Amino acid sequence: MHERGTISSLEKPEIHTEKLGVKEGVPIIVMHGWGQNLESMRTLGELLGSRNPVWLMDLPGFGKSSLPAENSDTVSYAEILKRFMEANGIERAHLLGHSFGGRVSIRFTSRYASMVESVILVDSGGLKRKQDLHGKLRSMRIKFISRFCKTVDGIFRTSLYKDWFTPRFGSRDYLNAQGIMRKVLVRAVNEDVTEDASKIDRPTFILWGEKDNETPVEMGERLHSIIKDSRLTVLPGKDHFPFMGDGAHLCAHHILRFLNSCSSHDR
Amino acid sequence: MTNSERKRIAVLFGGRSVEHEISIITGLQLIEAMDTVSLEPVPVYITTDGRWYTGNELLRRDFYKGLPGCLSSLKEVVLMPIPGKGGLSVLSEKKKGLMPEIFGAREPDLIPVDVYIPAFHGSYGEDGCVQGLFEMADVAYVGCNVLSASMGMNKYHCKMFLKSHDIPVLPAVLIDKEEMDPASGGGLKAVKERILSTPGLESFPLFLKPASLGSSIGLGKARNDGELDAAIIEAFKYDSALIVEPCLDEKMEINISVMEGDGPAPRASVVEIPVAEEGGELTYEDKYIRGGGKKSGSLSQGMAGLTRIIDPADLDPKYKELAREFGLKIFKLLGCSGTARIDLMLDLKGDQLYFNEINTLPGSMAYYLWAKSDPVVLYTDMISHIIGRAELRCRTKRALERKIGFKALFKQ
Ligand SMILES: Nc1ncnc2c1ncn2[C@@H]1O[C@H](COP(=O)(O)OP(=O)(O)O)[C@@H](O)[C@H]1O
Ligand SMILES: [Mg+2]
Repeated sequence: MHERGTISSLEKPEIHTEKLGVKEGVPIIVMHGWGQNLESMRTLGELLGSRNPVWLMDLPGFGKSSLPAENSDTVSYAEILKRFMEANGIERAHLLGHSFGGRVSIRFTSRYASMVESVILVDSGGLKRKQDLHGKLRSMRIKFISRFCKTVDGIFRTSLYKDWFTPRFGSRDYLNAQGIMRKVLVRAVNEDVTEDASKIDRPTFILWGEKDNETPVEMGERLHSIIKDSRLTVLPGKDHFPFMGDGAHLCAHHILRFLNSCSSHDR
Repeated sequence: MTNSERKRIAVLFGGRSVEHEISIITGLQLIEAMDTVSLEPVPVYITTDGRWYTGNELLRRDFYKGLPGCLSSLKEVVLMPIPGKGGLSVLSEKKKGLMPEIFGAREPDLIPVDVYIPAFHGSYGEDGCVQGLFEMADVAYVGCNVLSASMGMNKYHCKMFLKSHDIPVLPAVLIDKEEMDPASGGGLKAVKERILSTPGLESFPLFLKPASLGSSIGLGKARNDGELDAAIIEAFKYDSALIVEPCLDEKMEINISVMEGDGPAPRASVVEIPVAEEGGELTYEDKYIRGGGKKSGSLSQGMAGLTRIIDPADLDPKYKELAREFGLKIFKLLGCSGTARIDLMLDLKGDQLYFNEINTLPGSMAYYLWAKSDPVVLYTDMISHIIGRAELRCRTKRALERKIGFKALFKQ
């Protein structure tokens, strides 16, 4: 496993962003999903830029931003976002988070509500998947095999877990993640942000692809019931990436409608 | 909103046209951008042989790699020219289980549709043909009616009509393929004589194009007699009529999109300057392969992927304004609906802006121009708007009096 990054970047990750859109108004800070970078949000960001200034952000560890600190979790990402906003003189912003970026938005808003105008969660992460019986059995079996591999490795000094278990049972994101980002991922997928989400009191728009297999629409419905001032729109036929390709226009349509309905003073 | 409340929108693409493939891209983009919260897309693919199929498999681009075998997984449908039916009649039925009738699993023989969107380019789809079928069936459909679609399709007639309304156009002559037939006293020599004796076409270079095609297919430039022979033969490969114009050697192309508004006044987008890879004419590759390939490395984006400059900052505003003025006027003169793209050519030598052609069903519906216009029009909103207009037109038309009873037949 190779590690990159320096001590200084571990302490203060350099955040790569791109600013688009109109000059005046409350900015929208756009945070992408795991394994992506700001390019995945560009078309959507450009379309939203007709109403508000838009900051597209490479989250730490992705795109052109440097790595976060060794033991970062999504709360650390929220702290980094806070430092970023302060450093750039952004007093208040709309947060738009996809998937992993949604987790960060929830963490941030529950802590620094006064810096948040509204929250837009697109196929957000943050809640644990509800499993059916079949899923439960499968994960019990995988946990058992994992423990077995680790035990064997401990006794016989083999590397079954790394060489056999991980390639078979690790998720695509896990396999692609390198070094400390693997640890960040494991922390992120094992956390549940229900408590933080219940503290959100900002207007929240929850936009979800009906056919999302990664964070099923059931999670969007749960977030909607947890977050007080929230609205949920489910997009029929769309998956975990509803804003891909020309779907960006569809997402922009619903997001702009939300922004127009919740505030007229933020431009 | 539950599914049953969504309006059902049949998006028709493919078709019997050399622009078949580009139409697939336009159709799929349209479905991708459509507001599926309020609209339910029904994809309808028309094969190169003109058979209609529907099924959600059509939404995946890689499905088309399996043609024609993969068609068997779809339902074959047709729009009957019978007013009041409205939907698509199912021709073939996919059997579910051994005895579908007994288990009540028989598929319905009519797929309900509220509005039809032709997303075709070129023959049978952009030229008034399918619009004629929509009229016969008395269904709501997006975009131009029969007359404006067919006028827009024929480069010669369109030019002559607009010329009579003081829109500047290049001189042109229309040649029918029959004129090449020696049996009726014609031939290549006679055709060339007719071309070169047309006022404005007396000298080379000349530009030849099929009269009713698009996508830069069958174009030819003739700098001399030999090249003229070759260009005539090339253009007649694709069309039964061709048009010849003087060739503009130093030109700039300026395109603009015009869309129907909420009332009788249409709206115009920003302009674009399409850029050809090697300078000169835009080729099929420039339009559909190069631009898209460059951007995404995989999926071609059709017209939305072309290398182009949208709303060029250094273009003299006087040309932008003139393009707008021409665009709006031409759209109205031809009686267009929906969204069109009007292509103009600026002769840099004579400083004159000419109308070149209109695309009444432009590639990608020209949405990329509206996304950069002021105010921005999202593709999603454009689609909902033109659907709403289609419904309004249909209602207005249905309210017209058509039955005046039988009087002449039984007169004593
Ligand atoms: N008279 C002309 N002189 C020079 N170039 C021309 C002329 N007419 C057309 N072209 C070039 O050929 C291209 C295609 O012609 P056009 O009439 O737009 O047909 P198509 O329907 O195939 O797009 C234009 O975009 C332009 O580059
Ligand atoms: Mg053209």
